[in-house]
Amino acid sequence: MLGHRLSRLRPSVQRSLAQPLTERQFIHANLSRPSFGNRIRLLSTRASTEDAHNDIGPSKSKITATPDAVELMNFHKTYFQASVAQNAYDLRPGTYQDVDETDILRYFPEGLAGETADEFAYTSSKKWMIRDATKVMYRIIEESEKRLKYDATDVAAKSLEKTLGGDVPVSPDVPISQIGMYSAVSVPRLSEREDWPNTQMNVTYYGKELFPTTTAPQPASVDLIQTKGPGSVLENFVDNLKKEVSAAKQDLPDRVILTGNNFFRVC
Amino acid sequence: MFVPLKCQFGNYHAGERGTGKSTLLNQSVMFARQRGWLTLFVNDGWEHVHSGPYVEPLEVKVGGVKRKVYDNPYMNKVLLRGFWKAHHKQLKRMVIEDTEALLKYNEPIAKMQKLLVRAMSLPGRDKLNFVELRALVTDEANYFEAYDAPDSEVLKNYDFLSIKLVTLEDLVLLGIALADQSGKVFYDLVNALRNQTQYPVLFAVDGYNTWFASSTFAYGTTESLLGREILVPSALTFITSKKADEQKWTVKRGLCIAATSIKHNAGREVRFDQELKQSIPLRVKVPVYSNTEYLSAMSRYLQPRSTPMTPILRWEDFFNFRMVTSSTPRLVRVDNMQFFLPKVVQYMEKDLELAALMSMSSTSKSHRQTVAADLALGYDEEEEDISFESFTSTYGKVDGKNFAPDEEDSDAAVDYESDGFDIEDVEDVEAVVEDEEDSDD
Repeated sequence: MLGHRLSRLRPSVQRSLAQPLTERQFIHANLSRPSFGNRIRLLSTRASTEDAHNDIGPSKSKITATPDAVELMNFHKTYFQASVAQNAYDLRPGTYQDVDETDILRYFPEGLAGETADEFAYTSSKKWMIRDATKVMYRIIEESEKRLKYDATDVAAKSLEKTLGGDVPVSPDVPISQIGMYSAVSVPRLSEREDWPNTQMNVTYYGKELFPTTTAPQPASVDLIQTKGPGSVLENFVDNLKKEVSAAKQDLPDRVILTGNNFFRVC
Repeated sequence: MFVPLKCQFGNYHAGERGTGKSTLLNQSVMFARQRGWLTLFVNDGWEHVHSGPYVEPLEVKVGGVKRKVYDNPYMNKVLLRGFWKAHHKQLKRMVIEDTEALLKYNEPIAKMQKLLVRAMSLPGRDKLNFVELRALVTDEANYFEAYDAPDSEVLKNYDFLSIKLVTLEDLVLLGIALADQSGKVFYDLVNALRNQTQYPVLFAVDGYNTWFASSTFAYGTTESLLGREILVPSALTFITSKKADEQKWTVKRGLCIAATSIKHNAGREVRFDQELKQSIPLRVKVPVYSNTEYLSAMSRYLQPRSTPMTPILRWEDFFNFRMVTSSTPRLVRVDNMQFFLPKVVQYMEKDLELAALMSMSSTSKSHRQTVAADLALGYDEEEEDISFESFTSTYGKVDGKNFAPDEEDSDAAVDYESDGFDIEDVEDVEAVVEDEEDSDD
């Protein structure tokens, strides 16, 4: 049917359509047209989770969310979302934390690096994922503060109060509704499966490995334990770093490079 | 046998691009700024060696030694403006210690003041602000309106006639006000930040590897300048392949974070993992999504009012998609449309075909049925008959890309119509289709 319609367009327009569109162009172009917009909306999940089982399109043609999709959709709400106020170290790796709109304007007048802004635009909301790597970087900054004898506690607390309008406590108790944050995530055929080698954190000090790598399967339920408290992987990393630094009779490093992992050329 | 799908498009670097390095850098910058760190943030290193209207040679002093670099004034200003916006309150409290270094600005300041006074002496100009007056007194060949326009926000109350260089804020504003001084200002600013002890300082650069490849610019020869020869990269080269170089580049109270990027061709071949033992103190390899992170990302992309991702997903698709994207964060976002959309279209087509078959008895009836189904979906036949003008006016603006056809295309369209066949007339099309079908019979 689409081909039939395209064939009725002028050749010049057909040629323009034949040019590959980028992902953003595709979405913008289609959503800006009312008739196509309806189709795209029909394809999207613009219904709340509660009524995802209900029809989301016009009455005559219905697309119903599959039970699998609904199940997957619910993982976010149950396990992987956190507010600005929550301490990043307490979050399960992979949790999306809200980023305040005013914070983006205040802290990034230069603009954001990379494709973070695209991610925000694509999902129509401002959240970013707190990963193990995020916690490592936060920890490196905090360790630098210790090295520099700088106490950021007051500034950080004030900054958070400003973000929250001063109405919300800085470290609120976890609401009962988010108790899932601290329980195991289990997806058959995924959770019990070993992570790929290139999904593991890897930090080196002058080429020497600091982040203990493991080849054992890492069920999702142990994520939180891995990065919290004494004996956790994150603490071990800091201890290893300090050990190496002291052996080299150096200060804690003042420069860091972030690179990708497992670089290879496919062809 | 595994055959990489993207071979047909040439070399494909997998595992490195889109793992989340830039997001991690953003998170680090925000974390540091929230905690009161002064942060000089270069959010796109590539821009500094590939953008800007021109470069020109400039002599700067590094550790008492004179060095020739290439100034890219308008890109320096971009950086200075961002830094001022993020930290002007702190900069106001930071007194410049190396006052001798400021002497070189006396002459250009006096020259500009003279020009401003002369311009203001004319009637009707006394109420113009600094940016408007600067536009009047600047030589036309050196005036780049688009690059200067964002200055208005920063310099709206700037009093250049009573300028005094006391704090770092004064220095930064001078660099924004006078493009030709911005290079020297940037060098002095970086030196001041490296030597001050009032605040912790973070130097954060994204696309750092692009500074070690050729730039877009050449000066005097046909050979491209190296990225590191341009001013901003030359002032912020805190990681090199030699440990000795790094020990020269010191920062008294701070931290430097560089992120590599292979978004652009420039710098793709620059590797920082070859000389790890010699040069890089701390390297964080940002991995692709783990099992849990992939689960979280997919769940997020499926959220209501979030993305156009399919609600017909099944767990098989979930696992297949992980293989397709190698669990690479960027690909999980970028490829989900093209992976899932055909499945939804297929699903919809079956639905529509069934509806059409149930009441179909002739071609025309089938067509009417299709139109009715379209209308039910909100697909308006008349509205959908796109005219050339409406198409280009809508699509010509998408992401700044010009979709409007060139003259040759326009001519082709006219020729097509001159054949006497009006393609926008649906009835004609239907008649032709039916005639053809009749003749086939």
